Amino acid sequence: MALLEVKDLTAGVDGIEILKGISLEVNPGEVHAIMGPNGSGKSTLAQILAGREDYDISGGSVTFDGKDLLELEPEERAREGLFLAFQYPVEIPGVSNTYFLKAALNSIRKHNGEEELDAFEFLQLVKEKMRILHIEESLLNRPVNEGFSGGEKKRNEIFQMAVLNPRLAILDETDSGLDIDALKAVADGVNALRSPDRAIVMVTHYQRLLNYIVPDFVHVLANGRIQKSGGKELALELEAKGYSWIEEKVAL
Amino acid sequence: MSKTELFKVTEIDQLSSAAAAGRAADTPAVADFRRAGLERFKALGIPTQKQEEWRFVSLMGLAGTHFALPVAGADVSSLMDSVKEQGILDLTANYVVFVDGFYREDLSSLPSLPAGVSVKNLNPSNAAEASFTDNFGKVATDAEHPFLALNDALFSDTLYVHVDKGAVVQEMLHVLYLTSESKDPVITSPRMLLVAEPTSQISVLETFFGADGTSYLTNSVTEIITEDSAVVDHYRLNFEGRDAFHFASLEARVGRAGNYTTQAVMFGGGLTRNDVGMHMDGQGGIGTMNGLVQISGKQLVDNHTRIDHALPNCETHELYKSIMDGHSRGVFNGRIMVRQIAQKTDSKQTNRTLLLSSDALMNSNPQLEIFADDVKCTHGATIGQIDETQLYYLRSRGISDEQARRMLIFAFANDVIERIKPDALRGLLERKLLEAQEAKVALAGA
Repeated sequence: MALLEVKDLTAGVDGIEILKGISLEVNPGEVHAIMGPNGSGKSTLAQILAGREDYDISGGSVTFDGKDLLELEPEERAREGLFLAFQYPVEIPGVSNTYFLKAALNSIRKHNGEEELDAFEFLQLVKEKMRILHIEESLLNRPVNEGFSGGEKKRNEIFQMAVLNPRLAILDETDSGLDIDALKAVADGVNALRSPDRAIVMVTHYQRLLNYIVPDFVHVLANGRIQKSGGKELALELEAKGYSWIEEKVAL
Repeated sequence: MSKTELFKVTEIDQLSSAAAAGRAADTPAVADFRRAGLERFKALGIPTQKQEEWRFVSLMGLAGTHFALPVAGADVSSLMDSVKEQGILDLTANYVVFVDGFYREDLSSLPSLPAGVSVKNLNPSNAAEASFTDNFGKVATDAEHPFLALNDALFSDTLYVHVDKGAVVQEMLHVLYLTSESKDPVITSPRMLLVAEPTSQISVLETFFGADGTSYLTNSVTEIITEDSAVVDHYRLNFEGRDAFHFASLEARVGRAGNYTTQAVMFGGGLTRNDVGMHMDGQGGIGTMNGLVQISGKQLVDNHTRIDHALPNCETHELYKSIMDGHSRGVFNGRIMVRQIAQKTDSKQTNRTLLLSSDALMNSNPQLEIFADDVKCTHGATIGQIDETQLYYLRSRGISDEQARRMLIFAFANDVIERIKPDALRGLLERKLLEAQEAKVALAGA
C-alpha cells in the first residue's frame, strides 16, 4: 500500500474548479517533484493535503497510510506524520521558535504514545538537528519567522521538518525567492533528511531545485491535471522546452 | 450598634460629614484642600454619557448604588490568604497594606528598606512634612475630573514615599490596596504620593485587590514625581473583584532627563476607569506608559491617557493592548500633546486589541495635538481577531486548535508582560494569563 494515495481529486474555491482529477501515489523513500506553470494548481494540492480549510473538495479521495486524510484536522495530519513546508512561512510575533517547536513535537509524540520530552531533552535534540543543518542556535530564541529573511524562513521550515521527523514532507515552492547560496543550503538540509522511511513531494515551478535535490519521479501539472509523469529526465525536458508544449497539448 | 448609614455618591455633603466623623481632625491646609474638592465634586456631579470624556461609560449603576463608609480595622484574613495563595505577597519583601483606604501596619512588612528612602502613612492630621505639603495635590490637578475631586474630599490615609537624592532602592516596594468583604458596598479613597529626588531610583508596585461578589468603589489617586535624572519604575495591577467599580487617577511629572515608566495590568473590576497623565516637564526626559487589559463577561475598562510634552527633547512610548472576550467593553483614549516649545519630541503610541468574541466592543481614539514643527510622532491602532493564517500554521505542526489559540493570545499579551522587569512580577502575570486562558478552555469544554 502506498503511503499517500490521491485518487481523482477534484477541488476548487468559490465555485471555480482548480484541481480537475488528480491521481498520485507516493511510497516511503521516494522523492517526487510536481512541476507546473503558475495557476496550474500545485500549491492548491499542497495546501489541501495539509488541511487548509479554504477549499471545497468536490470529488475523489486521499488516503495517508490507509487513513482517509480528508477527514482529519490539520493537527491530526501533522501527528500522523505529514509535514508541509510553506511557500510563505507565517510570522508569529511573541512565540519563540523553541516554545513553538517543543509544543509541536510533544503533541506528535503524545499522539504516537511516546513520552513527551522535557526542556533538556528537547534542547539536546534540536541542537543535534541544528548541527546537521548548519543552523545558528540564536534562531531558537527568536520569534517564529519574525524578521527572518526569505532564506532564513525557508531554512526554518526545513529545520522544523528535521525536528518533527515526518513520514511525508511536502515542500511547497521551497526554492522560490532564494539566491543560489540559500537554495543550496536548503537543498543540503533536505538531502540530509532523505531516508528510506520518508517520502518527499516537492512542488516547484523551476527545474533549478531539482539539480540539488534529485527526484525519483517528476509529474507535470497543468490546468488542474497531471499531464505527464516520468523520471528525473522529464524535468530537463521541461527546462529546455518550457511549459508551453504541455499547455498546447492540453489545448488540443 | 447603630444601623450602618448608606449614601449615594451624589449625597456628598452627608457622605463627607460622616467620613469626617470617622477620622482624625484635618490640619487647616488639608481642611481647605478637602473643602475645595467637595465644592468641585458638587459642581461637576457624576458624569453622563453626553460628556465627551465619559461617552462610552454609563455610570447609572454607580449613581444608584448606596454606599457605606468603611470602618478601620476590618478583618481581612481570608482576603490575605487568597492574596498569599496567588503569590501576590511573595513579589517582594517590602510591602505596605491598606484595607478599605486605612493603613494597616499589622499587615505590612518593611524589613529591607535602604537608607535614603522613607515610606510613611500620613493622615490628614499629621501631614505637615514640608516636601509632602509642597507636593501633595500639586500633580493631580485636573479641575474637571469629578472622581479626583471626590477623592480630594474623602481621602483618609495617604502613603508618602520619599527617595532622597541619589538613593537607589533595589528591592521593589509593593503597595497593596485591599477592599474587605462587607454586606454593604463600601467607598474607599486610597491615595499615594511618591517623590523621587534627583538621581534616585525606585521601583514600586500598586495592587488593587478585592473579592468577586462584593460590590464596592475604589476611587484612588496616585501622584508621582520623578525629579531630574531620577528613575522610577511603576507597576499597577487591577485585580479588583468582578463587581467592583474602580476609578484611578494617576498623574506623573517627569523632570529633566528623568526616566519614568508606568505599566498597568488590568484583569479585574466590573467597571474600571483609569485616567493616566504624564507630564514631561524637563528636557531630555523619557516616559513610558504601557497597559495590558484582559477582560470578559460584562467587564468594562476605560483607559484615558494623556502625555504632555511641555519641553523639548523628550521621548515617550505608549503601548496599550487589550484582550477582550464575552460582552466586555473597552475604551482607549490616548491624547498626546506637544506644545509649541517642545521641539525634537519623539513620541510613539500604539493601541492594539484582540477580540475573542463577536460581542466584545472596543473604542479606540488616538488624539494627537501637535503645536511644534520639528517632532517625530507616530500612532497606530488596530482591532482584530485571532489571525487564521497563524492559527493554521501552528495546527499544521501538530498543535491543537485550542493550544494554538492560547499560544497566540499569550504572545499578544506577552508583548507587554515581557517589558516588566522584576522577574517575580513577570512570572506571576505570565501564570495569571495562562490560567485565564485555561479556565476559558475548561469552560468551553464543559
